[in-house]
Amino acid sequence: MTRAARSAVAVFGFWILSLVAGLLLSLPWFSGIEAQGVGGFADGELVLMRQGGAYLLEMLRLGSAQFQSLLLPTLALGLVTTFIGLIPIAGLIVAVVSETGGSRSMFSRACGHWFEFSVLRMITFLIQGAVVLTAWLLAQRPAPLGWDIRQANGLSLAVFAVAGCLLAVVGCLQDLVRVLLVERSGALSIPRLIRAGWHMVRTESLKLLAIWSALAGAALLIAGLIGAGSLAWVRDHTFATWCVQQLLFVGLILLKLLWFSSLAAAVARERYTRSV
Amino acid sequence: MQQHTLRSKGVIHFTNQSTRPLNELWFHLYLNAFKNNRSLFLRNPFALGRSGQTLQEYGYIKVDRLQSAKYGSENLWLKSSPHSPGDPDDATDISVPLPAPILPGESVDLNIEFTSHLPPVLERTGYAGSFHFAGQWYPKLAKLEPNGHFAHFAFHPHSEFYADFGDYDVRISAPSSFTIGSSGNRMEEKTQKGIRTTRFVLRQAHDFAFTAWDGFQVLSEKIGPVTVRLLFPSWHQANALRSLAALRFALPYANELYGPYPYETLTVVHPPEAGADTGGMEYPGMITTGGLWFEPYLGSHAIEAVTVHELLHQWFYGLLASNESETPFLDEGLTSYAETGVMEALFGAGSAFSGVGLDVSVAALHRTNAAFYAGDENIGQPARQFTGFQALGGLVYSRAATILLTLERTWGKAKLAAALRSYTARFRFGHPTPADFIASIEQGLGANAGQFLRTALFERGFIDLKVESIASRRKPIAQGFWTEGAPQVSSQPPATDRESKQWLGRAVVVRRGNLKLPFDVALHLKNGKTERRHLDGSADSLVIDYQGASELSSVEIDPDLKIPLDQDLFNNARAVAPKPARRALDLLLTFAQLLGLGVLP
Repeated sequence: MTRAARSAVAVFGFWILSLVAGLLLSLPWFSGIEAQGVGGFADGELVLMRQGGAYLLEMLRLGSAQFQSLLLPTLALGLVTTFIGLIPIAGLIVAVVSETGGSRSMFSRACGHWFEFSVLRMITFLIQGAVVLTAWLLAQRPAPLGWDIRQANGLSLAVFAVAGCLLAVVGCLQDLVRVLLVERSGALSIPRLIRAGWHMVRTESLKLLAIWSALAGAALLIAGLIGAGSLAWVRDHTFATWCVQQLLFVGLILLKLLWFSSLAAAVARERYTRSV
Repeated sequence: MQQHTLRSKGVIHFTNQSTRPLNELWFHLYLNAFKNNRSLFLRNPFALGRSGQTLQEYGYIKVDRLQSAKYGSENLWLKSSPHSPGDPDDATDISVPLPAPILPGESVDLNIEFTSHLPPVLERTGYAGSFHFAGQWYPKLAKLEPNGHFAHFAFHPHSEFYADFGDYDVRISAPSSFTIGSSGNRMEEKTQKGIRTTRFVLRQAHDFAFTAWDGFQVLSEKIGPVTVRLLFPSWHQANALRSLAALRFALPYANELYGPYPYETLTVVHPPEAGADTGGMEYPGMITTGGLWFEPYLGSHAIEAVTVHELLHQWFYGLLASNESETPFLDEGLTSYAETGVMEALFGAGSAFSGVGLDVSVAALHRTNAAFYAGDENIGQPARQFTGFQALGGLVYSRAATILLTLERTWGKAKLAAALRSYTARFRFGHPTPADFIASIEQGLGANAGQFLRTALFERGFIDLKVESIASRRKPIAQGFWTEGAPQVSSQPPATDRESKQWLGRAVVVRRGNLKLPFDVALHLKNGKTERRHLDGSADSLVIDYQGASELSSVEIDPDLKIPLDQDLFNNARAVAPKPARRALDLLLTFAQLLGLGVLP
């Protein structure tokens, strides 16, 4: 099986899992919305988008107890899918790193990395959690008397901006460690991680990350606009809209594949410079 | 300024305008609410006040001397009651016995000296760094009612104020680096040895507040005959300009609806963040706003909303000086209602928020908040009787506004505007009661509107319209025995009834609650057409029958949302075959996938 074919299988697997996970996560919320009785209106769920937002607020009011009760199960399910989702992520990396092998061996190699990826995920969660908690605590501190609003709000914004950057850096390092774990060309060590990180910064990887983030943001915005009923032409073409969204989503997974590929190249460069 | 203490002396020229000789005077020492944590205002450990905050440092007001030529050199304050009636821990409601009565029509000059020590900013007064806001900083005579009784009360955390109209002539001295903003017109300024004294004059008003800070920027503009003076931190210029733009629209708008603004100046204060609790408050001739500096960039109109709200208090509180302690809905409810109108005229359907394809109106926010507290407590009750400030907010601000919105949409905007114009004209510089307000509405809109208001405000008025059931089927072909123009029985139905192309539909509509309002029902047909029925709303339940060429698809009560008071909007519609909410599923799925993609890595 060629690398391209393995990559296609990995992307497909990732997409299928995201679809199943997405459905599992969204169906209870969807039922909550439907249970409010939006289907009884002539304009269906578009009643939520009527001018002034009275019906949207009413849905949030009437469904607040139900939606609150969904929060914890959704979080728990999200956590489970996060860990199950490590397999297709490993699949993406295996697809770009491996020289040989079919889809079955790719799947078994991906599954083989599940435990170490899970440990890594937990460590990353802990670090990211600590960052978020610290940022939250810092932002919660009351502004000193005499501080002006710009200083106080500016500090909060700066704290969250720094925290966001730290989260992104931690996420990138996690991806790099993942690639190193799959690639297995040498022992995993901090100096090696730093060297590979340096190669990552020097290459195109960060540009790719920026493109990925921009596209993900655009996809969120488009999804929001569609959902808000702002784009009238998609209102009555739900299936077509869904297809477009899924294509966009597959595009994002492809970008993720490219990102891993770029990281693998950085790791290879590190290996080469080490060997010479 | 560093001690946050005001040392004041002055003269109160008082005339007994009641029909009874007065043997005592009642003063409100509101600042004593912050004297210790046993005051009526602060003693509640659950912090049920507006801000919900507690104090680390305290403030107080101390009257050093009260003397009148009528009584010689005697310091009348020495015989004042040490605490509020029946409350040894509170000193906000103080009586001063008089050696000899003040007769009806008689005037006395009372010389008074007092010290006000401001607390750190809490509940609209205090200091934060060098920022000072002096609200309720002086001994304030309780309102003398025509029957000779003073309407006095201890300062409760839910309550606001009540006072008589008077003329204020105030000189404020502060370091010359400080900018002073105040109710009233700035008359003259003198600077000596680094201390600037500014004289402010405010006529026909029932309160006087001021602020001093060395960080204020000042922006002035004439809107019609009124000079608007904005004081704000320099980084708030964008917000100040937003406030100003809102005022350019709202001031003439309110003048037209509720009569001319009575003063020559309007001071608008945007406090710095550390003093944010002084924001969102009204004083005659002066308002405070507030908000976060980045708020305008997020699609929120909160800064404009608070500016408009406080401006409208110049009428519903300032000019129509109702008893805010006894009937808070008369100022806050009417102001909130008037605010929805101005904000809608300014920003349309997105009057509270507009962005990412969503519009949220101030009216919708009030409606939702009102529905949370429906039927819990009487809107018309005194502030102190509410179980908490959130309940007061939900009922007095939001539900009262929603009641008036329902009145507007059901009886007509023009009619309600005319009734309110007549109310504001009649009680301008007066002290209207709920009965006065309801009588004005009744006069303009009729007895039913008056009854609606009485029930809604004082009997926990409630309404929930619901489509109980809906059915649709083809009209059955006639079957059975028939006698058509002949004595013998025939099994042939009339020719016109032998085949049916007609559809029958039936919906059962019920009305819950003690409010009765007329409403529309929309019958949506499968061919895309809609039939409207208007119902007088008097029946508890009724059956709506339909017959036509197209199948009945769904029924919706009050499709134009003329009754925002309706408790549950989602039981207002019912379809024969409910529509699936595919778009919601699609949206949720996409978000879940996208977030998943972010989370999964």
